[in-house]
Amino acid sequence: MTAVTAVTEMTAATRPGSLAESLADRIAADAATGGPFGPDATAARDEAERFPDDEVRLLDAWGGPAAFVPARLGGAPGDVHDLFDVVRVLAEHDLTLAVGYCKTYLGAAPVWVAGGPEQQAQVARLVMVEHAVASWGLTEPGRGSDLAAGTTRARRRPDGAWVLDGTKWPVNNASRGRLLTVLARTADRPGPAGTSVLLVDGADIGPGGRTPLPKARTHGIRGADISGVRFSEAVLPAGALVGQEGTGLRTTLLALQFTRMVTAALSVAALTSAHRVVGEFAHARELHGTRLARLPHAARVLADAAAALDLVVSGCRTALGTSATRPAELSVVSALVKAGVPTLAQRHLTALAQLYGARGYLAPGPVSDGRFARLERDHRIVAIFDGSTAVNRAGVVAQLPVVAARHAARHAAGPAAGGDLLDLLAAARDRRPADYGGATLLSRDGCTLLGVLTDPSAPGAAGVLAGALSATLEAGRALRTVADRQEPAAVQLVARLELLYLAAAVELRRRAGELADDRAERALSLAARQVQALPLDAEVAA
Amino acid sequence: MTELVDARPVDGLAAVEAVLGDATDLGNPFGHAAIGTHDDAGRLAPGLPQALTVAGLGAALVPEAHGGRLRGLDGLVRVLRAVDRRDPAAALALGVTPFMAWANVWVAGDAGQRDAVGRLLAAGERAACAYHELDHGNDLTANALTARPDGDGWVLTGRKEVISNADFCAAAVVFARTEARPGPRSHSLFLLDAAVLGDPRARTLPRYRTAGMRGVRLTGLDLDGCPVPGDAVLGTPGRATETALRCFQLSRVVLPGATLGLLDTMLRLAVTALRGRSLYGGTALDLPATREVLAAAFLDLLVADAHVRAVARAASAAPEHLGPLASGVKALVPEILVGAVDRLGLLLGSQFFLRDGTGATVQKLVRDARPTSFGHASQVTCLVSLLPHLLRCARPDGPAPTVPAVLFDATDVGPVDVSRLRVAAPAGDLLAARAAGEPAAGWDARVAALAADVRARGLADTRVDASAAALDAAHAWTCAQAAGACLGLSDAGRTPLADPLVRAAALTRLALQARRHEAPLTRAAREHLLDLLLARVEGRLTLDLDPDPTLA
Ligand SMILES: Cc1cc2nc3c(=O)[nH]c(=O)nc-3n(C[C@H](O)[C@H](O)[C@H](O)COP(=O)(O)OP(=O)(O)OC[C@H]3O[C@@H](n4cnc5c(N)ncnc54)[C@H](O)[C@@H]3O)c2cc1C
Ligand SMILES: Cc1cc2nc3c(=O)[nH]c(=O)nc-3n(C[C@H](O)[C@H](O)[C@H](O)COP(=O)(O)OP(=O)(O)OC[C@H]3O[C@@H](n4cnc5c(N)ncnc54)[C@H](O)[C@@H]3O)c2cc1C
Repeated sequence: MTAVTAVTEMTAATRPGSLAESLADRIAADAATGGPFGPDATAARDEAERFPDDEVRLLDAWGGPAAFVPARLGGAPGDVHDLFDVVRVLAEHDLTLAVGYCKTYLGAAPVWVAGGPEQQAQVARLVMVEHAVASWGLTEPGRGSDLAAGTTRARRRPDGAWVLDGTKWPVNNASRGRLLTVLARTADRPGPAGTSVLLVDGADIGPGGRTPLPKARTHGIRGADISGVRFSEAVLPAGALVGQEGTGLRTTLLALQFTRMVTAALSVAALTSAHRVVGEFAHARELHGTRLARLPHAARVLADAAAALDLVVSGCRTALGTSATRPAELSVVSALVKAGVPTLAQRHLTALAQLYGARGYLAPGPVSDGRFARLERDHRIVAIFDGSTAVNRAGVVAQLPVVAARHAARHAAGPAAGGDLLDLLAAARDRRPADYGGATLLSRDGCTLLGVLTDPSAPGAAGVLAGALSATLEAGRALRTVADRQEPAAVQLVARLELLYLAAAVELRRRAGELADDRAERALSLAARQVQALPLDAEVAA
Repeated sequence: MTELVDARPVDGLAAVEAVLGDATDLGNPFGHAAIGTHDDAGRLAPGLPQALTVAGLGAALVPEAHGGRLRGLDGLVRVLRAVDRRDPAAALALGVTPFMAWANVWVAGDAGQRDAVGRLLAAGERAACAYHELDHGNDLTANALTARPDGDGWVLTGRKEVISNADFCAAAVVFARTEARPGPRSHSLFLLDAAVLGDPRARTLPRYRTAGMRGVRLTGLDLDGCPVPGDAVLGTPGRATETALRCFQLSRVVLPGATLGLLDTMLRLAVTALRGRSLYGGTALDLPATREVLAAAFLDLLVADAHVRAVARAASAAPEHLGPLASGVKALVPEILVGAVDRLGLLLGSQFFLRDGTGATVQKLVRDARPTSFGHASQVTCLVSLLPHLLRCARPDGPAPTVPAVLFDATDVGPVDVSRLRVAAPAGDLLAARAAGEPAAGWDARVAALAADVRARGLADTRVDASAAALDAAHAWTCAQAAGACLGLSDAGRTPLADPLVRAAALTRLALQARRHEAPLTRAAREHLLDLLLARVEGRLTLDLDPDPTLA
């Protein structure tokens, strides 16, 4: 029975000696001795909608903040790879904790992307030594995804200092963060060129200039500090500017390429936990004279969730590798991952919830520790923040013609053996640091990884996927007008491409010997089924 | 775009709407805001049960012959849906759960038991329906709570867990083991009245707290040698499993049918919130991707309502056929509902996730939607129960049933005669048969292919250990039933399904659903549905097939 083996294999694989491993060990030890990481304490904190202050203190003491700082600035030696694993470990424990703790990376990312050397060193020091919390102020009340429409303003005074006015809300950790990177309008010119990113250090501002806004209550991640901040005539030093004036939107979009791939770790963790909890239940539950996990339907649900886990883990791995070796492709890759991973994870969470029945719906109590209901609820944030699924898809649609053209050109040059792509995996294996300077707004090379799916006559699911890829890209090339690109049919192409990207990552790992053939084949055939479940227009009519 | 408001009165509907008042009024004790606050605290809005009783909710559950006002199940569904639009927890605790208890009494009880329980419910008392044991879940025949004969009566020992209203009811139906041997003839049903429930040996279990449906008091019964009089047995001893299979036919339609009210409210709130959200110089409603999700959710609601409506009417018009039709509704409608609710939640984005105003209500609806799919009988349980029926329908020489036109029209369909409900339906499927003759969206070929597939699989693959492929076939069959319902309603005129564009969109959507595929609507269908939807929201009309006035 495939499902039986899967349960044990699917725990967060942390590298020996890494920061993530050491945190995982300490968390387990703390939980075992009735500390704040214990299951009851976690459940009680969630019920009370309380911020995980105790956990954060411990994580800080255990060296957690190193995860948020690039290796070259003295952060964790495994750079974003360590960060990804840390997010995963924390989120497997509790999504609120991961979201509340790791936000500092998102707040600091614009500095890693565009900050000057001194500014970078300063932020690295504040985060690692002083355990400063950083948050990220993009969104404004009443306005969501349209970043260029913000009304927060920063004026430059003759002495070079900046005067900041406006409100950022909802912002994760806004009332806890000493540091806050703010996207503000610095020129009257409308549009992106009038925007800049400023780094606000609470230590520099008088109390009047910065008013915290109260914590918002939320559907999930209930203890997180989702709050906001109002600036009125807040004076920032000249050095607060991050990068060049007028590059605010650009810096933000580039930083998002890195944060989005890290955010996907939340979904990987949620799916890992859900699969474990429900798998254990199904193997133990007597139903209809047998064990639930032995009934074919239940076995399929569990096996599919395990295959989905291989897909999302593989896609995140190649994305992390891309950030080191082909950062100019991240605009496509991280959007595919940020849209595709939460979507696939949510689909399988829903199926697992069905299998778990009443237990998955119970709050903490004698029958259930409430863990499943909590994670199912918490996970819904992942597809919403850090760029919603729709926003990420819109970003890829715009690049579809280039992705298609580059794919065709590479294909014409001969079938890809994948050899030239193995560096993606090597970079992940060797924990090569992200190349923050190499990111670009649009990918001129399209998405090279898709090149492993070029042979429609390949045996098994890989062949089906290659056929689906070429049909998808062909349809993408036919999108001529802006109106075409906004149509749901165009968005559907991207949804397919997300699955194809994850499948390509699995196929590459199979070729590199990282995944056994049968396990890879299961993941690929799940991907093939799910791509076929998103038919192109022509197929619907048939 | 204007539609005619349906003039056909449904008894109780207007009265329920009237006591619920304006949902958007912050001062309304039964408005969204007040209900949300009480829900957070794990209770129904104070006064709501009494107000609904005055509006006739209790009476709506019980047939005319037994002291209430119930005629067809379609009317009952519409009344319950009005409550569900406001608070799904209230609909479950005050409507659906008492109805489920009543269904057992109705099907198996004697005249005295029917009159007694009918009177209680019509007066607004609550009842509990206690089947579930945590150790056995969907496996009814494994249930352990035991009744042993004792003189003229019985003695009950064991627990029923996660039971709505168990600590707060005037009567409880309890499913108990009366024979030690395994099998379908080893259980009996008992009707516990207030006297028995008040016995110190009948304790109630502490409350289970749940992610959603928080206003429902979920507790349980812990019976420790509790004596029960001999006349408390419902129906023939040993036949409880058969009774359950018959009375579940009623509840498998009523429960999902009522829950569609939740999608109605969610959709209404989404339209309003997105229309008010500025984005890229316009509003979020200008984005084709947004329009698609809203239009598709509206279509889902129409399709699901068509399915519910035809089957609810079949309970009166063709009760012998109800079993497989009701299993189809319970298998498919929750899937459609939960899918649409989740997509709307995602579409609302931060307006869903932040718990204020609209968000608070929307979150509650997302949470409350979940048990519809796994509760009562899981989707798989319903699909498994369909498999033998499919095999009978798939016989090449099987009879082609005549489909009564009354399933689809707007006439009074008359009362339900529960004595005609059957454990095994006659061959032939009243709804799938309609789809089998329809070339649009490939339905004729699809139904034929399903039949061939089921035949090839044979009897061995129709049991609880059914293969995943067999369950896929049963799932596709439920979509054929829904397609049949849409076709019937479309031909009958009057509802939006009569519009050729909507009809075609519905058939295509179900064809996709049959394979669990997803694809966007055509642009023409999307814009047409959206126009219709916006006009309904504007006119404060319900968003299901018949546009009833509503203050939701
Ligand atoms: C818990 C939480 C924490 C948050 N933390 C932060 C934070 O730390 N910092 C911060 O700056 N912000 C934060 N936000 C804000 C968050 O990033 C925004 O909510 C998000 O960007 C999307 O906005 P929206 O959900 O309001 O959707 P809207 O922008 O209002 O959009 C409405 C709908 O239109 C869709 N849409 C938008 N653009 C397009 C498009 N181009 N094509 C198709 N569809 C589109 C959206 O997906 C959505 O479905 C947080 C939000 C929450 C709920
Ligand atoms: C809000 C709420 C109210 C409730 N009210 C009542 C009430 O009033 N009275 C009452 O009696 N109960 C009540 N219940 C309990 C409810 O009826 C049970 O949750 C339901 O019967 C399912 O049982 P279970 O959760 O134990 O699931 P299980 O029986 O453990 O089933 C779990 C899952 O196993 C899978 N499965 C089942 N059969 C098969 C198969 N043959 N092959 C493969 N997979 C299969 C399905 O996916 C199913 O969902 C309530 C529950 C809730 C949440």
